Amino acid sequence: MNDSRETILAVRDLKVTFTTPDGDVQAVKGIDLDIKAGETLAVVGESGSGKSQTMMGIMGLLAGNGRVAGSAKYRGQELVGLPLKALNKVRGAKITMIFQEPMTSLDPLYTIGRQIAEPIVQHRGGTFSQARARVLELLELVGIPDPKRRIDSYPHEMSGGQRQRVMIAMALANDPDILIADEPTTALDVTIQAQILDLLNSLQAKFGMAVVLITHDLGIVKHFASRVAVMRRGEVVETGTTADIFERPQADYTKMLLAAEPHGRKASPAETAPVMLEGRNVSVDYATGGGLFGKKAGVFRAVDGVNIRLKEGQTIGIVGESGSGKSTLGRALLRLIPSSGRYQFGATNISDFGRSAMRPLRRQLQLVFQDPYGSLSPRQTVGEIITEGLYVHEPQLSRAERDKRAIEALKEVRLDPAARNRYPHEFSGGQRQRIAIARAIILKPKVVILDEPTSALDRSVQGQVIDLLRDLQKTHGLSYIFISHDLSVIKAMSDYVVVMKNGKVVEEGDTDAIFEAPRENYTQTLMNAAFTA
Amino acid sequence: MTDIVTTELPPETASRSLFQLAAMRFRRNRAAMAGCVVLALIALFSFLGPYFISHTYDQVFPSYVSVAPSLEPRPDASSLQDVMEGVAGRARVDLKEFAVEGQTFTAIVTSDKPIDPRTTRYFDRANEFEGTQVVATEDDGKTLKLTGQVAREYFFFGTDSNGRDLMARVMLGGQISIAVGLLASLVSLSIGVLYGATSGYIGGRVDNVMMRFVEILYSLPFVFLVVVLVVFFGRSFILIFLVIGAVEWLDMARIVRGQTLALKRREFIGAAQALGLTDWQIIRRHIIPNTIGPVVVFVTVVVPKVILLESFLSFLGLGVQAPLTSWGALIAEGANNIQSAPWLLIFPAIFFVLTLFSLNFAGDGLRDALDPKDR
Repeated sequence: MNDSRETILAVRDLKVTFTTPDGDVQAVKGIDLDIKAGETLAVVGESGSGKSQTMMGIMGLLAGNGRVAGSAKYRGQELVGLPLKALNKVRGAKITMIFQEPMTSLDPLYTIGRQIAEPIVQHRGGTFSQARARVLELLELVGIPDPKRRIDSYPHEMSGGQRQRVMIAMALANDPDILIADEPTTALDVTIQAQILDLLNSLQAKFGMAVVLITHDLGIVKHFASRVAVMRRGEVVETGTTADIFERPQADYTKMLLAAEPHGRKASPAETAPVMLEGRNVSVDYATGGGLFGKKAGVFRAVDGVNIRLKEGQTIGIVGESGSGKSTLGRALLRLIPSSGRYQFGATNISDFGRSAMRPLRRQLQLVFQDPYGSLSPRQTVGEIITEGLYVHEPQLSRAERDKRAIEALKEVRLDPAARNRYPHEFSGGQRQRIAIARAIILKPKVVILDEPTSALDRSVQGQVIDLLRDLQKTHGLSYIFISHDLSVIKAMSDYVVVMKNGKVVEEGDTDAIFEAPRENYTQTLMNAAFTA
Repeated sequence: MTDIVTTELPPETASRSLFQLAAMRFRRNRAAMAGCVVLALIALFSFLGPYFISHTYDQVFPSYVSVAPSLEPRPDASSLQDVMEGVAGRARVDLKEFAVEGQTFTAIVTSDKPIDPRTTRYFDRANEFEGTQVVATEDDGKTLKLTGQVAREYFFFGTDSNGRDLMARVMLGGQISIAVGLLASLVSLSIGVLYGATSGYIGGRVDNVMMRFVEILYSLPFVFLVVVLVVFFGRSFILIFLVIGAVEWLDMARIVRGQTLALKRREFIGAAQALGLTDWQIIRRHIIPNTIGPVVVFVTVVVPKVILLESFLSFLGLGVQAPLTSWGALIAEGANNIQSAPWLLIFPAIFFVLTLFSLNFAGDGLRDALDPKDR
């Protein structure tokens, strides 16, 4: 758009290579990028596309086994291969970074005031007490309420959104030219995500620095970036203005990314469909504190009097931000955690069922987890993982029969049956999630609770997993409870939506009704905050 | 759109289990591999060595008390000459020539009168010579050519103050120390892993009680425990394993419990619960296999620790009893004779130190190889 602007960071033929036991892996394969003063450049790509490693390479922050080659010139000064001392004059002052995880990017031992002052003292000299005034100013700027009091807070006293604001204050401390934001909002809830992005936007307007926004979320890109670079497998596939990329994508990959937004609707089951799982007045309390002889210090109510009726063939979507109790509710419905309320599975009242009484029912009530990396035991083969349920519920099966069932289940989730002799770490996130689904459906369950099954996956893979889940529902007549914070996924998957906040149901109703005409304020905020591309 | 078939699998070369990956990394670590080789050599020396030497560990050589180590056979040629002259004097013959070659000697003796061939008995009476025969008679029997075997002994490591071959004893000590090290580590491993995994997995009050019990055991002095057990059960070889294992499992239990607490929050444990596995099945199938990395590394620290503990017990006289011995007992004995016979300390100490070093290098290598961050 405004091409007269000066290019302040010119990246030419940048390569990042990692030395691994299996030989060199080229994460970035020679890319060219220009960052102009004051613009917002979004670097988009799925995980493993090298978008973060490019920036880490420029900033000299690669892991020990990484090497960077090529050229990255900041206002004519070559950054690649610059000695550490000279590089430190640039990074942290002229080019700064904020990271994805605000929870772990701050040192828990220092107050936030001291941590924000650190780059000031480093780059401008002076003492920490001299820097204090500037820190207060910065805290005000990033919208921390009552900065005079909060300046002496420790990171654990702040919420995730506030910590990200502190990170931004740190990055702004020396009036940078370029602010690199590496997935700055991925770890945050949607409503806070919107606030942080708005803050970045207004700060950019005020100070005129360039922002490099690394993200996988096309919704954010569309709303905030002026230019977009699409990366795939270490190469830049396409660059252009945001409008061009979204309206006239050239590369096939870009088109695929844009089309990967989950779509489709699910029809409601018949009115007469029998109720599969019902929970009435479900409440879950967590005791806090207390030791061997100590008294329980307090009680935290994670789920507060929720009613849920899941009919056969239905998919109930549960939406909520982190801490809203949606996952806890899912586990309570499966009777995996102590909870109060009345529970009914089919015709059986399972309210008073203990662990051993529940065990035979477990095969009909299955659970799929969010993190495909954590939910598969790293020391079992895929075959062992998916047949584990058979080992418990159908111990009479012979080895060969179990193997046969494993092959069937893998075919059903569209994985090569040869996968059963391999270990989970050899598979990608999407493939692992398929394995986790195979583990659940091998038992031929009636109800499956899906706890954020697509949140850790890339958009294009997400779509495939959603399609798979839909197909399985059709062929086996499954009933799903689909827990997610991602409204677009919920919209595509479920026919009934429950919105939760602080353990309570805020609003519920048919998917279309909720999405077209949300009644409650909170639901409306949620809808507005989600930048549906 | 609904029929995207994901049949592509990672390439065949990537099909390696975590264990294979770890083994690969381990093989690339030179120090660790060297440690393993040295350990194997020491084990071979200790367990197969006794079949290749003629002395047993309890054989006493009264003529060779506190002999210094040497590559030359004993007695040496000059002292044999002295002995031979003494024998010749007793036999009232003159020694004209004397030579030793390997295990045989030849001597030419003369006398004024013809010599009775039975004089060979005089030669056999000496400790050093046996099987003396007349090979040739010259000068009408006035000169005899004799040959016979010399009982020459090799003491590469010297002998101890009781005249026992130190090399045989170092081998035996190695057998016992390695056996104690491995078996006591296994005892502590099995108790500690089970206890720690159970305590950590069940958690809550059970965990509290179980870990307080561990702390109570920690606070008991080790020697006190040993003395009590020895008083109750009498001294025996098995007891050493039991006592050491009973002390060492405490650390193992703590390590495994810590691991278990972290594992418990992983989703695959939740998945196993949702599948309806019992607690015991989860501990056995999921918890224990996943703690194996840190446990294996800890074992390489426990083995030298156990060998040291056994040495300490032997030093106090509560360990293995003579004529059996262990490296620790040998070192204790050597320390008492450090001025008069330093080799008694040096040889067992070399083996002991080499073993500990190798174990540490191997343990370091294992830790690096099994480090999940390096995946």
